[in-house]
Amino acid sequence: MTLDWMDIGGATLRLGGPLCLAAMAGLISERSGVINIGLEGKMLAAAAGTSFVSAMTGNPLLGIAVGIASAVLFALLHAISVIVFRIDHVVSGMAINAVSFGITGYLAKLLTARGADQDFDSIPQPVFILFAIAAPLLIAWALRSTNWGLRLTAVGHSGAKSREAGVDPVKVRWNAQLWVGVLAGISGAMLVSQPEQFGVGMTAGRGFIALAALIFGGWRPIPTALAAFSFGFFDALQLRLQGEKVAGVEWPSQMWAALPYLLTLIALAGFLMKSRQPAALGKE
Amino acid sequence: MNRVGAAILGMIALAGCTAGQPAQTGGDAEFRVALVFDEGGRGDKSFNDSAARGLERIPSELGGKIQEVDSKSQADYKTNFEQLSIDKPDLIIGVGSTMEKAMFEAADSHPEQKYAIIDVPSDKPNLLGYTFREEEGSFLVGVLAGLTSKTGKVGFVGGKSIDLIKKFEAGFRAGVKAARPEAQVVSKYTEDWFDVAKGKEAALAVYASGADIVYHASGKCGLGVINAAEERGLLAIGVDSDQDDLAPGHVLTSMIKRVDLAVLDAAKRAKSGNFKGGTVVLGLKEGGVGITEMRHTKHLLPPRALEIVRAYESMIKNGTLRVPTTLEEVEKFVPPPVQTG
Repeated sequence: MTLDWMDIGGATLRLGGPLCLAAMAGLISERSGVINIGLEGKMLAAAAGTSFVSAMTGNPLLGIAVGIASAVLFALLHAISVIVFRIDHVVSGMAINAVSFGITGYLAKLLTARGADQDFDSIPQPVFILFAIAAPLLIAWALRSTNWGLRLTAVGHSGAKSREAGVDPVKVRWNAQLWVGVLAGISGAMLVSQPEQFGVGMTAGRGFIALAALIFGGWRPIPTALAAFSFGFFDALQLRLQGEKVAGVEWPSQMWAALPYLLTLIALAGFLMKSRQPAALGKE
Repeated sequence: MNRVGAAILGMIALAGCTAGQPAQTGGDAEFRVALVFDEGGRGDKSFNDSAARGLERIPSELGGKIQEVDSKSQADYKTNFEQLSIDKPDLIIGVGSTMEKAMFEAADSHPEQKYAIIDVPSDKPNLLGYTFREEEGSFLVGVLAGLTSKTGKVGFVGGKSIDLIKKFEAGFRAGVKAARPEAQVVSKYTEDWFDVAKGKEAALAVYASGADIVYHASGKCGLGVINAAEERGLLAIGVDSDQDDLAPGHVLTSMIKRVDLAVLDAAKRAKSGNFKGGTVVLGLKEGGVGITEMRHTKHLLPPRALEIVRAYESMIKNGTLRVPTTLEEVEKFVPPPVQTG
């Protein structure tokens, strides 16, 4: 068989885009010192909100807005629990994933029982792809060259020290969670806009792959984005090689399906050595 | 502060975790049937929804109350069966082969309770197992795909690569082979049942390889497969339920698996009083599997296609054609000549 690289390139952008956006959400959260394993739940909420409202109103932009708002809501819930109540960040993130799965599943069931149409006409994918490519570039610039970015990094190093320097870590972290919601929201909206309908649990672990990309990228925007898109690339590639003879043999589908994860894992193991985790991550 | 917050979050988390509340529908209070969906759940427009249709016919056709129970994950099966077994309805139905272990354990520990399970054979006196000859229906859609394809290449998208789904693939491949021996078949597995976006990408990969028709047996991933067909202006083949309406004109046909009939049949047996455990096999002959009427796509078929399909159908029904159930059998499969007109 011959590989059509244009086709694989397109699939890489579609598969990697939601991962990249979610990883950027994770990056902003963790650079401010807040662990975020609730990306999955936020993506799911955004996917559900986008799909349900788009299908109901026939207006995909309104759907996306509601989708992003749902993710922001969950992001602020995380902010309340870790910044105000100082709950363990991992516990709060897990709770968000569980709640989001429960609520979106319940709503989907309710809509199905009413016989409501659940598929919708989305805005074109390239719009989302543009966002997914622009986000890491913008964030890289903002982290380096804006007050917002410098404060974020400072707070991620040590909340106490930045307070001494006159930066309020609470304010910075609240602001960061707002952006987490927006980015994870666009990620979920992008995901659901591909098949143009919601499915319960459709994020299928993408929020965690995004976290892996974040660690792989050493909490830096461009390497993290590259990690996310390379996962997308390997996924696109394995979907094309599956069921074909490679080196004269048809390999089992499970092996292909595991390939992107395996390569990410190997990469992670290699890069963890020089990881640059924000010093205050999960500690304040 | 810490504790208050933890308690609030804990409560929220628990609220998110509980399985769906049982939905009760009125009727005669005597006869009660409870049905546990698999983790795919209602709304898959496929396997689980077919079971739901059967369940919904019970109150009007047999009288009595029905109850639905969702499973968030496979870990819920055991709890669901245990709780229901305490509640003691007349019949507990489990939808899907993934519940096999939990169901057999429940049947062992509650010998007086009647159970039924879809897609699993049973040798227990209080458990009825319904299995389907999916390969027979898949064979017919394979024949249609082989005859209809313009590129001479068709594809299959499976969910997880388990034996049950390989049976769909085997039947499909055999059907294509019978209708058009030189045609190529490529298959991809998403290794997932819920990832709608992945289902779409898998189908796009199949189309990219030059195929123009994709048959799926992949749960909710299939909704993505059908969306891909619509987007590319090509064809998909639906599964389990009639999925022809999901993208009219882009779903060639659907391989229908009458899970609803099995559910209704189990309820009838439970109500009649002479409920016996064991396995019931539903194939083409029994009306357990089949293809749709192709409301939107008949004009796409080449002439005589329906005749050829019917000829194969009667050969399967009268036993002269045995459809392969594994990929190894497909290799050795020699399609019998078909006589039409």
